[in-house]
Amino acid sequence: MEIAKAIVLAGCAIGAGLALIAGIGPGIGEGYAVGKACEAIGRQPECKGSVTSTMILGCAIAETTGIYGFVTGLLLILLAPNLFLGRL
Amino acid sequence: MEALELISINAWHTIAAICNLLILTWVFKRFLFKPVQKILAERQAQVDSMYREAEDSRTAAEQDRREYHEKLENAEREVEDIIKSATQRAEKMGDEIVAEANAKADAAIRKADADIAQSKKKAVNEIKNEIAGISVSIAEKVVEREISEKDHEAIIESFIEQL
Amino acid sequence: MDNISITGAKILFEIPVFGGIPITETQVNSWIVMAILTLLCIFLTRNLSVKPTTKRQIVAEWIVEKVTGLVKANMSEKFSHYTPFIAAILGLSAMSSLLSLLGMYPPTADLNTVAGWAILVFVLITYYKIKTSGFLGYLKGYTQPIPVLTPFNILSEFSTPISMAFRHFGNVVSGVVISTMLYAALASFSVVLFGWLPGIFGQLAEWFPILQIGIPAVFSIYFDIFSSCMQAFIFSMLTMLYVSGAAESD
Repeated sequence: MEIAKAIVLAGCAIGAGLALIAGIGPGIGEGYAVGKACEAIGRQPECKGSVTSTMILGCAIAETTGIYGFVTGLLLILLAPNLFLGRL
Repeated sequence: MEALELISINAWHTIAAICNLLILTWVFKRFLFKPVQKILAERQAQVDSMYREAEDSRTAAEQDRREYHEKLENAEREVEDIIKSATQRAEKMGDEIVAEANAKADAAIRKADADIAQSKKKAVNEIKNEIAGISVSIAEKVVEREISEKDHEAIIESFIEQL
Repeated sequence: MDNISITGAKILFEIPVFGGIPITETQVNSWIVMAILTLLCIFLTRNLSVKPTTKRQIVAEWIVEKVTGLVKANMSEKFSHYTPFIAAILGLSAMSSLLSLLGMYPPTADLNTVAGWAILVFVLITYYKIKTSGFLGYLKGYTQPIPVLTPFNILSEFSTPISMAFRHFGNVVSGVVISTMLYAALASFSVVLFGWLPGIFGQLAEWFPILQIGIPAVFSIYFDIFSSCMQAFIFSMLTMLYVSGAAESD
């Protein structure tokens, strides 16, 4: 039984760590988006306001996958051990 | 103290959140947007009325200006007319005066001529009379008798007529 | 290190109806935020005059004009009655998240709150979709462009509120988690730094972690202030876009 608990806890922790790999995607995506926004502002400085708000909106949507990863990690750390250990 | 799990769904809390949002929407509508929008509308109305007033007064000023302009033009025209008529009158008057003067001068000349003619006639008559007298006296002297006074005179008259 | 616990809202008391409705910090803090916002509204709109004389009135007009402009720019003219709703989302979300600055539990870090808002937005989206294309047209919209994609369409339809809720929740919770961990780390670090001092000073370092003053504020600027306002803006922005998009869809 002890070994099963250890495996569950380790699995949850490793899973949470792996879930946070999802943070890579939004990082790259947002960096690309911001770079493009900077280019756009450099080309047309008078559009700064609308470009910035659109970029922020896009970044927020791109961030969703990262947030999913984060929430999954939280679930794995906070909820999953109790859930699985309760069944054991 | 007891706590909920970090990620937990409770239907009551969800409904409470929806109700909170709706209540706050109502609060914002009632206590922020309605009064402020009312004030903004009032201000808009005031600004509109001010613009309208300004437009009205501008139109009025424009009309006044046009009227003044018209009046000024009329006055100028009148002045011109007056000057023209005065000039005409003056010319007419001058002409009249000149004509009168000419007439007067003519009359004077005619009168003078008449006077002169009369004087001449008179003088001629006088001279005639004198001549007649003289002739009579001469003739008296020449023909002291036979010839009456009347014959004398007749002879002399005829003589003078032939003169 | 044992005292770190990342939990949800603390249950203050329970209303003993329907099997007990727990009243948590989330509820109480939401009410506090609503009370603050209501008082703020009443305070800002007191003694309004046509010629603005007070700063209060200028602030009130600025808020109204900004939100009206935002709604007008992102939704069409016929949605101008949504302005108070958007303002309510903005105010409630931003103020709730900003409560964490005061060390209180932000109601937006409770999934129930943001899930409620997202469900409301989902209801609005569905209402406008049905209103514009009819019920059958709405159902038919799921089979576009080919019937095979129906499960994916249903999935994407229902993922809209879920992603909205989790986006907001995740952003706020990440701030909460990081600040909790930062406080715990600073506490143990100040014990390590000053705990060796003899007598009362060592005790003091354990009882009152000196490093917790100031340093968390730097992180608070991002995680609390920036992130709160950003998430409030994004949530209201997405609400506007989804709702007006639902009304415009053929």
